[in-house]
Amino acid sequence: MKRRAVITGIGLVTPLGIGKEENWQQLIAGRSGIEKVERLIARGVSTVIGGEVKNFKASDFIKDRKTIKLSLHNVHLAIVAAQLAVKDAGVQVEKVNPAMFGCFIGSGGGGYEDGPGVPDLAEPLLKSWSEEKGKFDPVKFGTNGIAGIYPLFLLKTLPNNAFYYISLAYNIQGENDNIIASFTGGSQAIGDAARAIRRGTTDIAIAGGYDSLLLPATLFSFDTLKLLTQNPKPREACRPFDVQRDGMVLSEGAGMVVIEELSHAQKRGAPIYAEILGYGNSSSAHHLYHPCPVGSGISIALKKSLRDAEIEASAIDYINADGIATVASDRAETRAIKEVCGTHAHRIPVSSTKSMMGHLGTAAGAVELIICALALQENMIPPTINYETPDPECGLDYVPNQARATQLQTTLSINQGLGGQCTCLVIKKVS
Amino acid sequence: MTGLGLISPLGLTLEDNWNSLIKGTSGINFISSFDCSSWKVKIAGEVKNFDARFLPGKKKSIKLMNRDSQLAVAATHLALENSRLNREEIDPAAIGIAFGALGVQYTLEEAYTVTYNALGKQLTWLDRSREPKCLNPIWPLTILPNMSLCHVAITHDIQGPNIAFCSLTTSGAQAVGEAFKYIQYGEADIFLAGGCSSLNPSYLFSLFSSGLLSVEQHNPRTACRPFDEERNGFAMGEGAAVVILEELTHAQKRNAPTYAEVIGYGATMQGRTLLYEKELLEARVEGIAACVEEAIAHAKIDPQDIDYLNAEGNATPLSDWVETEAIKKVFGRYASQLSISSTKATMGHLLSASGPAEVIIGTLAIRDGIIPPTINYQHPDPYCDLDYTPNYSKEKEVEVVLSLSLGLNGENVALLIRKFS
Repeated sequence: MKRRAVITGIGLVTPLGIGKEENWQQLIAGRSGIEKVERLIARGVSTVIGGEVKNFKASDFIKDRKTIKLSLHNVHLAIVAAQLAVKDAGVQVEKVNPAMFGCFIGSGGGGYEDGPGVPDLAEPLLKSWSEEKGKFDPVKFGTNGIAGIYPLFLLKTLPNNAFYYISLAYNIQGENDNIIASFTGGSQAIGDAARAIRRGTTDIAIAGGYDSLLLPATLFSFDTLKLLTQNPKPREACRPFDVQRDGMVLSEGAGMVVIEELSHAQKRGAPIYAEILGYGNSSSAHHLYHPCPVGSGISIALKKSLRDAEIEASAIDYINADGIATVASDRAETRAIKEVCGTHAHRIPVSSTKSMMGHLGTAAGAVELIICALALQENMIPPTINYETPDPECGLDYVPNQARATQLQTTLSINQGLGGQCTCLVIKKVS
Repeated sequence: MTGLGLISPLGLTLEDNWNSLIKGTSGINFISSFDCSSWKVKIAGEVKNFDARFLPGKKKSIKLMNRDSQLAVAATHLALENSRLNREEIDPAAIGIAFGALGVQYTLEEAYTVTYNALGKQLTWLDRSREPKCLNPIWPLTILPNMSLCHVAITHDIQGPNIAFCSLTTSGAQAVGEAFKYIQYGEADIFLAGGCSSLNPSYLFSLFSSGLLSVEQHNPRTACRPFDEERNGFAMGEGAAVVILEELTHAQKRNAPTYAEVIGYGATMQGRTLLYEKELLEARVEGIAACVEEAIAHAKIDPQDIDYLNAEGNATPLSDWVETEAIKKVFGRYASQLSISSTKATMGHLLSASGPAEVIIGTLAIRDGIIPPTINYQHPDPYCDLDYTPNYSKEKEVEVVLSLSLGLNGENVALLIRKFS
C-alpha cells in the first residue's frame, strides 16, 4: 500500500506570537507583527523596523543552560518551535523507534550573530588592527588574537546546531538532512521529510526551518541592495501586491512540524492536520538577488509539485504566496501562477501572510506551510493586509485585508530565495 | 558517472591532478595568500594560477562570488565539458544540482569590519562615506554556504532540483550520495554533484584551534603523513570537485563517456574523534563500520569485491587509528589484502570538496588500473598495520572502489563505485 505523509504537530515561533493559537488569531484578525525593533535602535542601525519575536525568553523553554550558552538566538527559536510541535503532536518519544525517527532542518547557514561569533571573536579581532598599514593585519591576529579565542567558538557557529540540539533532545537516530538555503530551507526540509516517509526510510520526523534576519549586517546589506521598504510606518510597511509596495520587511522566527506516516499516526490516535501531497523544487538560474521576470523557477516548481501530487491546478483552493512585496518579485510570482494555473488563476485566492509577519528568512517556507495547514483545519483564509490599490500587473484575488471563510480541501505554498532557489508544497485534508 | 571536473592544489585539470597523484608529487607548500608569519600554521595546499577572470558567465556575477564559488563554477565547467553534454538538447529543468559547502565564509577582514561596527558604535551601518571601515553591501550574500550552488545554477543554467549540504568535511560526499539517490528515484536525469572549499584564514585558525592541522615549520611537502606513526595532523587544502551523474539509459542514448557507476551509499553519525574519550572512540569505530556496511548492503556486493579503499586518512593521530580499526571490523581477514591509500597526503584536505575529489580519484584508479600512493609514509605505526600503498603507486586491476569520508563530529559517509561494463 502507498505510504502517505501527514502533518500531526505544529510549532510556531513568529513575530505574531509563540504557539499556533496566538499566531492564528493574529493572522485571521489581519494584525501586523511588525514594529520598531528596540534591540536594533540601540545598535545604531538606521533600518529598524522588523518582525521581532516578542516576549521570548529562551530559558522559559530550554532548561539546559549549556545549550543556551553554546547556541545563538536563532537556534533557540528553532529548539522552541520543535518543542511546541512535538507537544502538539502528543508524541511519546520513548515509544518511537529511534532509527525510524528523522530530522530535517533548513538553516540559513547562520554562524554569525551581530558579527561573526561576537563576542568571542570581538576582542581578538579588534586587537589585530594595524595603524601603520591602516587595515586589519593577519600577522597581529596571529600574535595577539588566536590564543585568546574561546576554544568552543567553532561549536557555536556550526550551521547544523539546531539540528544537533533537536536530534539530541528527542533521540533521533534516523534519516536526516541539514539543508542550507537562503529562505527555501524550511520548505525543502519539509518536502524531503515527506519523501523520506513516503519511500519508507522514516516513520516520523521533525522538519522545518529557522532564521533571524534581524542582524545589523543583513539589514545593511538588504537595504543597500534596495530590497527593503523605506516606509517608516511599521504596520503598513509590508504591502505585497499593492501598487505602493516598495520592499521587504525582515523578521525572525521558526516553524517546525511533526510529519508521520499515516498509519503510524492513526495507530496512536494522533490529530491529523493534512497530508503532504506534492513537492517541487527548482532553480530560476537567473540572478543572485533579482527575480527572473517571467518567474520560470516558480513555474517549474509549481508544475513539479502538482505532478507529484497527481492533481490539476483546478484542484487548488488557496495559495499562500511568496509575496515578499518587492515590485519585481510579486509580478514575477503572479506571472508564474497565471502561467501554470491558466484560467483557474483568477478563481484561486492567493494571499501573502508576509504582509503581517514580514520575511522570516529560512523559516518562511515552513511557517507558511503551517499557515496553509491551519487554514485547511479552520476553513479560513488569512488575508494580505495593507492591500489598498491593485497593481494592474498583479491581477489576482489576493484576499485583501479581511480573512475569508470558505471550504478548503487543497492548499499550496510557494517560496523562493536569494540565488533563485524555488519550492512549492501541496497539502490536502485527510478524509 | 559521465563527467569529472577537479581543481586542487595539484592542478587545474583532471590529468594534471592525476599525474601528480600517481607520481606522489605533493601540492602542499608555505602559505602565500596572506602573511601568516606569526601563525603557528604555515603550510597549506593552495590552488595556483587560478584566474577568475576566465570563468564562464557574466563578468559582473563573477564579482559577486567568493573564492569557493569561483572554484565551484570552474570545476562544474570542466565536468560539463568532460561529459560532452550538448546543453541545447537538454531541458535545464531536467538537470539537478547537489553541492556540499564548508560553512559561512567570511574573511577575518570582514569579521573585523562587522565587529568594529557592531561594537564600536562610532559608525552607523549605512554611512558609506566612512569607508573602508564600511562593509561591502553584498557581504551577507557572499558568505552564505549555499551561494556556491546558486552561482553554479546561474552560470550554467541549471533549473532542476537543488540542495546544499553543510557538514564541513563530509558535505561533498553527502552531495554525491544524495544525487545518486535522486537519480534512482527519478527526480532528474542528470545531477551535478560536488563540493568546494577555499583556504580561508578564519577556517584555518578554527581547524588549528581544534588541534587538527600539522604545524610543520620547515618541510611542507612531507608534513602530512597519514597512517605514519609520526603523523601530526593534515594540511588544509582548497579546491572544487564536481561529478556528473547521469541516469544510465540517458547516458547511453547520447553515447556519453561512462567512467564508472555509483553502486552504494551509506551515511551515519555516531561517536566522535575530536577528544580522547574512550567510549566515544569505540562508538566511532562502530559508526564507521555501520556506514561502510550500509553502503555494501546497498550495493549488494561482498566486502571482498572491493579492490581499493580511498580512505579519509586525515593524518590526525586518533582518526587514522579509528578508521583502521573500523576497516578491520568490516573486512576481517581481508583487511590486510585490501589496497588502501590516503591521497590527502599529496593534495591536502579539500574539506567539503574532499569527498567528490576522492570519488574522482577512485574513478581514475578504475580507468587506468593504478592505485595512487599514500606519500610521506616512513614510520609504520603498530596500531595502523594495513596496506596503505606507501610512497609509490601500484598497478592493479581495479573493479570496485570504496571512498570513505569522516567528519569532525561523528559524521561518516561511504560511497561505492564500480567499473562500468
